[in-house]
Amino acid sequence: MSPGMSRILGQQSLPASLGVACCDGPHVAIVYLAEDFQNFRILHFAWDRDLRDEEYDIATRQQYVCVVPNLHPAELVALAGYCRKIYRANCAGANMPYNLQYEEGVYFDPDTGTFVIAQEATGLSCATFVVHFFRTTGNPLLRASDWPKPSDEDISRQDKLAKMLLRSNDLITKMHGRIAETQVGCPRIRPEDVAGACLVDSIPAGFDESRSKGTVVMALLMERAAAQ
Amino acid sequence: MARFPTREELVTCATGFIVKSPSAIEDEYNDGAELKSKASTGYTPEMSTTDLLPLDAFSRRERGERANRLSSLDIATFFHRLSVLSRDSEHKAVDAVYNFIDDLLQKNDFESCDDVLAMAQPSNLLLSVVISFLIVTRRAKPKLNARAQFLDRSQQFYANDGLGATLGKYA
Repeated sequence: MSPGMSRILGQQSLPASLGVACCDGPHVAIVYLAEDFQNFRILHFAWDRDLRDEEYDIATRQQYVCVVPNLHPAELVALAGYCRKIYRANCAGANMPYNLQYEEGVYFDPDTGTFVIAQEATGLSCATFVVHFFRTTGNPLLRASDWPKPSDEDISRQDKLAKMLLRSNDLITKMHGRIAETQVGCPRIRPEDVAGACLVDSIPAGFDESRSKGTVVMALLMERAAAQ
Repeated sequence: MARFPTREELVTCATGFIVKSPSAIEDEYNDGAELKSKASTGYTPEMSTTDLLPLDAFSRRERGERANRLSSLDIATFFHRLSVLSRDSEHKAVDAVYNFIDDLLQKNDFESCDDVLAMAQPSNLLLSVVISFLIVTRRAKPKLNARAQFLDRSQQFYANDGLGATLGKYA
């Protein structure tokens, strides 16, 4: 087993302070030690203007595979604190639009933890939310410029997400859907790619290694689901 | 959970700290938007600048005087509290750094923030706390002359542990 694979946690295990959890949505989230310093919570960008912070309880854990990025334990403690700060600063979540493409103009203010979006940027997805979180703290998980043109499967998924936004009754979400529609066909950082990047020994991870390790995470999810 | 004192029950601790209720802290902010958002999550700040300031600095602010640059005593008090918190839980210490520095930066009090970094001794701080200082001051680094020196001192202190390069990421 490569050293990276040892950072895949057991189904009921918890990270010491921070981890990245992937489920077969596919979806990806940050697991972190909560403000009571006892329980764990899961912070994730669920949908357009919908940042969620939920209990990472036993039932939730069964849906996810949790991995720990290759960072020093002290760094993970500092990042868990930053995660608590990000949720407090953005708990309303109203200004975080959903999109399909990775954009450098999106980040979290290192000082306040608030979400910042440049004028030319359009938003983020569940996967790029996690990517931006780590990048903002000085720990880029992956090299986004390395991601190739999307596969047919990726385009189909992007098309489905854009249509879901367009079908919304909410006018703002619908507007974000129109933007997302124009982004179908852009390189797609999959949720499992982000989890895969955490298993690479030296970050930022490239596309090939992230995708191959992400595939292992997805296989493990299937295996666990079949066993239940 | 520890009970917060009311405004009338402000407690002056033996260390000279003032313990204030969340409502008293909220009153102090004319624009309470941030605290309201925290309140909506049930979050009570572990430690803000006000919690950490000694009596004289608190009185100065309570009288509505313009927030002055923190004194050396203010900063020494903060580091003392930080060391107490660190012994209890490094997670609490990390949150205290984020809250304390965030308060200063939100008030554009870069001078005080610079003074805090200048007085910070990596040998007295947990590595996670050092990293938190570096993360939270990243955006303001052009205005913080002492930040680069703090990073240098930290890298030197942790060089033997092979963590100099790790800290370099946070430059």
